[in-house]
Amino acid sequence: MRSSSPVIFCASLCASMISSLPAFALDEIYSPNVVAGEISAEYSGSRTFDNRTDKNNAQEHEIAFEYGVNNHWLTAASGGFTKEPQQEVQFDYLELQNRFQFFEQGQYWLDSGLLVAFDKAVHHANANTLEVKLLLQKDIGRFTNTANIGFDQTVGKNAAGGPDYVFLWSTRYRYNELAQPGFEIQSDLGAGAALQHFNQQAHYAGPALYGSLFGPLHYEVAYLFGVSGAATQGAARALLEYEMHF
Amino acid sequence: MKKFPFLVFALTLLPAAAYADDYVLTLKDHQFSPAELVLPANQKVKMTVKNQQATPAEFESADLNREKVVGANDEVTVFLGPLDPGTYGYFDDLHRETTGKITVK
Repeated sequence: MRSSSPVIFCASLCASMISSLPAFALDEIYSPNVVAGEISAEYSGSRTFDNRTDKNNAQEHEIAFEYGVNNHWLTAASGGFTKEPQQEVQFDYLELQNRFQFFEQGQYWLDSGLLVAFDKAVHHANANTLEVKLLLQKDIGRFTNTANIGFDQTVGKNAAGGPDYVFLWSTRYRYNELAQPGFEIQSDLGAGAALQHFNQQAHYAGPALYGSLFGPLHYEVAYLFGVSGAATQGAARALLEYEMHF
Repeated sequence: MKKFPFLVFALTLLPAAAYADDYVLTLKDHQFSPAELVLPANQKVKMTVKNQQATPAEFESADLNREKVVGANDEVTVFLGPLDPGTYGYFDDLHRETTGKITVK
């Protein structure tokens, strides 16, 4: 009986840690296609909604500058701010991201590319993160379907566990340039044992709207509903991007 | 599960179908020529966009989901389709008053 107490204590501690982990932040879903010579300034942000105060109002905000180096390579630098539930917004990381387009858009049955990003944690107690995603896209009629499949892996002296697998999907109907309605699925599949249990993973699904305003101003908004145990009741994301050409 | 990456890679290299003949769209004096390009329906099309101007242009179309910069006095290849019959608009994103349309029959 006595020997089981530390086990119960550790299990309780792990359960409380899992329930208080920062919620999975909704992410931009990237096209594998890049535009050479295009420079863009971008804001993207997300927040959670939940009746539980320890899961409600987690936020992530990112300011990024992107440059299409050529027809197959885009590089981006960004700064990220995060907010845990019941805490203040804090400057959290600097990111260097590169996206690679493998072939000409439409040349093969499926458009493909790769995203590789490195997040340098601002706070010494936090771990750096390496992010790798396969980017896929397929147009079917006026529907554009995009999938990002990959993982995040903490690296460096504070690295712990992982990799954490993610699956992101968007389908949008290209109604016109101004408004393209669609839906998104965003899943944090977790790491290790969590991969086996749906309710330990964070799955979201819901409507989204994409489009361009005044030409160079691109927007994306989405509200996704949590559909698994580890997800919050809902989460929203927004993106605003201003494109320039040189 | 371990075969999934190989399956995805194979799909990325799978041609949708043989290309129809090459089609050419020329941009000169801020006008696309031909003004209406007719393409075959339900076929993969290889189109060359030629920019015969001293300034760069950007072939862009929400209808076609394409966005491609064309340098001054340069040309690019745009792969389209297979497309359903209908009319698809496009424009030069650097001079948005320069527009054109593709009719698919």
